[in-house]
Amino acid sequence: MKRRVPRVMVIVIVTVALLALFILTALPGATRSRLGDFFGGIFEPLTKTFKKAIDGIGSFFTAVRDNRDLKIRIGELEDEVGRLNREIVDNNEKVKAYEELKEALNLVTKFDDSKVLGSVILNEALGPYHDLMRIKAGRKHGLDASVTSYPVVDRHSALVGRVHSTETYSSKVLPLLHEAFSVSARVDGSYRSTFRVRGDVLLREQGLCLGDNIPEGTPLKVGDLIVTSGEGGIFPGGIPIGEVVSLQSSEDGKIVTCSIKPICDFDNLNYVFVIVESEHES
Amino acid sequence: MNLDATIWRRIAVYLPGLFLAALIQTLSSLSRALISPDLLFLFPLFAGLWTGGYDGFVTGMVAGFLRDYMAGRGYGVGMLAGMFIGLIAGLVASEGWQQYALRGSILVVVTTWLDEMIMSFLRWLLPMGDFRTPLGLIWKSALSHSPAKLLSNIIGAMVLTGYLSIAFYRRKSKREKDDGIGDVRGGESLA
Repeated sequence: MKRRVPRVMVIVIVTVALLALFILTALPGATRSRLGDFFGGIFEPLTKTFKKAIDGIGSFFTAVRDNRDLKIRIGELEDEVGRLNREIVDNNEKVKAYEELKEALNLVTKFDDSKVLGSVILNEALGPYHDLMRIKAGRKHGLDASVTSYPVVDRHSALVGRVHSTETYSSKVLPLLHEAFSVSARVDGSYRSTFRVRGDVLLREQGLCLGDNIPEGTPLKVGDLIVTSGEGGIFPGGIPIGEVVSLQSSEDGKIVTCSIKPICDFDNLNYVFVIVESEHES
Repeated sequence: MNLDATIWRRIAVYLPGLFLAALIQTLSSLSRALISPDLLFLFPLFAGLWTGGYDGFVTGMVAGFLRDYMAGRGYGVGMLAGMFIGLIAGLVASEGWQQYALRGSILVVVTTWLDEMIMSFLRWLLPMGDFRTPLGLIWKSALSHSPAKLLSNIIGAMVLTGYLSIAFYRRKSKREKDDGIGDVRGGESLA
């Protein structure tokens, strides 16, 4: 039988077409978005099937173990319910007092004016150039990254990253550890001396990010909690980023950079929250 | 091994195969602790090695598109990479398990390493933010990943070989046994 060899012309035409596609979509803008929308529409049922399959596989393996654990837990919870009911009665009075105080002093708490959109993570980075996360929330859910980006946090409100691009049913997220990510930050409790926190290629290997552009006299020490400063327009102030694990100083003793361990546990991240509206800035 | 699988059989093998590969890769990407072979990268390579011709080329484009769609910075790069890997595999496809193992091993090692380096180069060439990381640092980071990536891809290669040999399994006829005809893979004879 004759061996089939692809024709050179076909290869050349396809290569040129793909190169054109690559150049068009490498630049942020309408082409990538339109393509994403088109294929997003096609992949929506596939993504749903995918998610169901993933959940199904996960459920299968955890069902037996969870059932056993649940029986033990139910017993413990019944005891706790009794105790908590008593606490609710006590706390209701305190909540009432707090609300009155909040109203009187016009206090604003974190994310008070924010609309938060929960979303499951479909996949994480696959390789050096395929290094974005995909979440199941897109323009259909009110996101539009062509207008502005959105902060993404985990269930403890710790910073995960920001929305990179949106499609009809899903979006890509630029994670905190990515070298293209940067955010204005400050030490928690200090309202001056903001600096930059960004991803770094080498620190990423250790699960760390980098603090740089640190102004002289910034009160920074190992163990400090770093939060977003609220400057820059994308991230509201006060979102926890991470904890300082080491400081790098110049020869004259000035702190030049610091390594920060993110609070977000990227190894066990399955669900994130996108902060869609935030009128409150620090 | 199979000799005369029709186009429909090849589609019936490659389509669910790609779906499964994407599913496994999605699952493993969510848990960084797991060794996660890049099955969407390996799939066209083994499709090309198994059946030769256009199979690797086409599956490469589809698998590359899935990679681009899932986590790519844009579209086209993953498709180009997949297409050429599938083509090269199709061109070097040869008869015999021994040749398959030898050429497959060399291709896995070379293409895994090349893919890491080229993708890292593109990451440097087209930075997403204002800050451009030096190419040396990006390559250093890619090289530090290479052994683990290579190991996981070798495991992935074995899984894919298992899948393809089961999916293309065909019982030999008595005449083939008597004539000693053997060692053909996938959808066609490479003789």
